[in-house]
Amino acid sequence: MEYISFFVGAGFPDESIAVARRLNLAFIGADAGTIDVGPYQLAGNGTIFSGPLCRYDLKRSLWAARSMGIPLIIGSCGGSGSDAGVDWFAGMIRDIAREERLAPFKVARIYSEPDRDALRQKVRDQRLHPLSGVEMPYTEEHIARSSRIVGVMGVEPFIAALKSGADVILAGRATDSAIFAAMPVARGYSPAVAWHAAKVAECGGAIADPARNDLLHVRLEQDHFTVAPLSHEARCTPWSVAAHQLYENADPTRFVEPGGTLDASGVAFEAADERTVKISGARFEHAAQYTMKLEGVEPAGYQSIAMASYNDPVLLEELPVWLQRTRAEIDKKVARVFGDGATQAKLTIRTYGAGNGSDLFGQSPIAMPGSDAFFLMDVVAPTQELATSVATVAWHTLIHFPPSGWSGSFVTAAWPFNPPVMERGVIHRFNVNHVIEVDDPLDAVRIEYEDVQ
Amino acid sequence: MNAAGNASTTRLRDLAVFVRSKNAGPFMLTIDVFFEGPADCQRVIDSGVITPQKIASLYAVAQDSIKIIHVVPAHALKISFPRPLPAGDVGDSDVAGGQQFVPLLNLEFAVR
Repeated sequence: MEYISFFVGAGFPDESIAVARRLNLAFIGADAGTIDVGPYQLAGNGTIFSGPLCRYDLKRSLWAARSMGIPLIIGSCGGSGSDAGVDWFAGMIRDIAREERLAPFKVARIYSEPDRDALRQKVRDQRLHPLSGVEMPYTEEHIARSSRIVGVMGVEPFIAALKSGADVILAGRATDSAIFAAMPVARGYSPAVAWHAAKVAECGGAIADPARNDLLHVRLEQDHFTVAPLSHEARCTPWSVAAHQLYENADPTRFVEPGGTLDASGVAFEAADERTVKISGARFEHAAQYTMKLEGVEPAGYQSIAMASYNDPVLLEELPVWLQRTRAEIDKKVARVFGDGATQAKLTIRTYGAGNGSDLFGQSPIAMPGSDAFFLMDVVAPTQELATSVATVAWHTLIHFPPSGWSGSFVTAAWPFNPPVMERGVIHRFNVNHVIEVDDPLDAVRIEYEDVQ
Repeated sequence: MNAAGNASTTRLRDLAVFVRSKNAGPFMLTIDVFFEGPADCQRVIDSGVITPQKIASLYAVAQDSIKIIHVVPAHALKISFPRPLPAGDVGDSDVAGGQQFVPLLNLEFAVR
């Protein structure tokens, strides 16, 4: 069995889809989602790739799939796999079908936002289990304050849709591999080959050398599979494929899926030809209990931000102490106006170019930069008004605060935008790191079919 | 003499082909250190410089939360541990974790 994979919105060369149409493909598969860029997508505050970017890829892949008479299978629609993301992609598919005269065909929409009552029952029945890595409590209260929750599906809903004759599958949140493993598993390929090929396929041409946004061609045999990019400007090498297994995986030897675990510890990567890699040796362990991971977000508050930059050597030479004094002045002013309410606003001042700009672990001290420093002030508070008020105090204090020994009133900073304080609305946080036990993999999803005419 | 100007040691940034970091899901960070070939990778492992203790002190994370994996076919070392706060949470400075490999770059190894 052969298939091609890509990531919706990231794009691929037109030449590659032309090459793909000459192959004997069983389906075209695409991932459209990621959780790694933060909670905003799941919250519904936007997507990584905009409508026009997604639509362009959907148009080219739908056209190819329909002209070849093979299924187009897309998972984690809309960037997060929310119900709204599935509906968004379904709307684009309908529009493209009409404009390009690609109908008739059958669409399956698979929704994976769980029923909240059923989820509460899982908590009460203790059929919810924490995942390793980080401990977070998850109770009925967390469910109640979640703005969105999705369950991460495996291959079974895709297989159900394929068996019902779906030509286009638009799925909510799915494991990246489930999108590509579904048809091979349904056709009886060994789970080890089906799942490992899917795991390698999920990032498309990113596994090639040079890594690029391209279609990846995957070919399955009974005991191994091969991968090659479709663009002739790139190739897969044993190293490029092996190295990509590490990407965004905490452990590249074990991949937990809803129905079992892929053990890739004994895998061999060999060059089949100068641009194709042959992969074999993975094992798949079926789990005694089917589980679905939950992804969920809740509001964290309203955010307002402001920026300022400095290249004044007099100020930069005493930056750590200057910032400390400025911060004390800001805190004093905020407390004066808002009293106890001030503690509800969280102000963070980051100094890019002075050590701690992107330091996530709080290990870098504020340093004295040689040329300039860029300050980003961010406030999160229970109301937008409070966030903006505190950000305004921070910005106004920072831009006027003199270095020691200087007096008088002046502006010490440059800033690039007007108005200087920007409101970013409600921001969200992830609030769950758990799986639920599921008896029937189809229990926690809803599948709806439609004939596009 | 090496790039750091020190005659007896060399830095990870000079030994590795490239070093990268990224989230592995919203709660974990993972750092990959790739070497030109198995020999360089083994040399770094044998040096005993990259240990859970060392990573714990560089990142101020609990030692028992750190996983170091030798990925043989990629001649790479993978270092995984929890993020101090979930991706995109209030106070996050690096939502995808792409800049968190930097503290490793100047780790020093004896020149043989």
